Amino acid sequence: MDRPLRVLIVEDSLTMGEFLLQSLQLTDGRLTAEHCTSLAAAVSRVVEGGVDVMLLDLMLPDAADVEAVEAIQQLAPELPIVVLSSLGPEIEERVLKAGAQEYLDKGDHHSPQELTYAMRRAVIRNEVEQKYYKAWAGLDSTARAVEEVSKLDEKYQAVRDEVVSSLEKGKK
Amino acid sequence: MNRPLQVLLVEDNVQASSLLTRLITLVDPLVAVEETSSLAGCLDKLKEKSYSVVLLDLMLPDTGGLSGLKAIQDQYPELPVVVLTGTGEDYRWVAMEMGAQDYLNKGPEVTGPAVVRCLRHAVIRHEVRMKFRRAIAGQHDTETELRKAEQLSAEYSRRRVET
Repeated sequence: MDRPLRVLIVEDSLTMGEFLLQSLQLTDGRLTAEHCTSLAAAVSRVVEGGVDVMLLDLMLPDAADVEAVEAIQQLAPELPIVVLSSLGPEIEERVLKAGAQEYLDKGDHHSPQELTYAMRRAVIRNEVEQKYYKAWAGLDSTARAVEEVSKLDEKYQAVRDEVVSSLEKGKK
Repeated sequence: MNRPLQVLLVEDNVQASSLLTRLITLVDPLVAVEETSSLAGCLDKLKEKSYSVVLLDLMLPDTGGLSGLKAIQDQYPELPVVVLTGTGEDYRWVAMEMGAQDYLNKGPEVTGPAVVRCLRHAVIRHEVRMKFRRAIAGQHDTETELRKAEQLSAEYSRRRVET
């Protein structure tokens, strides 16, 4: 897996953020990371573009709980999010339902390699999902086009029957 | 995450299979595991009933490599599959690119809690995906209705001008 990976770490602790940044870059030579400490800063950075995946802490000075996931999802639904949190397993279902690709608990002491694997998995899974969404959107429009054509066909048939019957009446 | 889950475990090593089933059900009694030892057995079971997720070993007596995953996905493209393998890193990223929800390497990654979490996450992600699908379909319905309303409104204006 040697694709470049541009990671945005969103973590309010400067020490933790710097540690993650250094250890992830050391573990995966194709990975480059940036660090910001608030949701507002993350939003600005995402808007600029050039981020492949976000590694997101949930306890930020300007967002708590799943707020940050929801905000980023709304802003950039195609950006995969890996949540790294110490809020415990009771929040993981909500995080995933809000659209995050992965939930990792800080208490599980994940190694830098596990974190990079989780982010690469999230990116690939997200790409597959985007393909699905495009295919489904295409399928839906095709199905609707077929439906419209068959309705038109019915109308045509009705008009034709009407014309034929009035012609027959005329003959009589 | 305390909903029941139906897991189909496809693993040809009977001892490994029953050990894994025990590990999973010990960690989470709401997870029901059914076992089968071949791809053919897996496809038969999928025909009979629906499962929440498939936990698939890649090396089976009637298939090897990624063909098992492909066969399942060809027939059940929307069924979440988690790959469980002893073949190391060989297929990790390709399996994911093919649409596997996750990839577990037999060994340190396969602890009871890790497998249960992985299965439950796969199912939740699948539900989110289906919700998106419904949203896409709903969006198209709204667009069609809007187009119809626009046509009706244009027709109404035209007739009003004519009268």
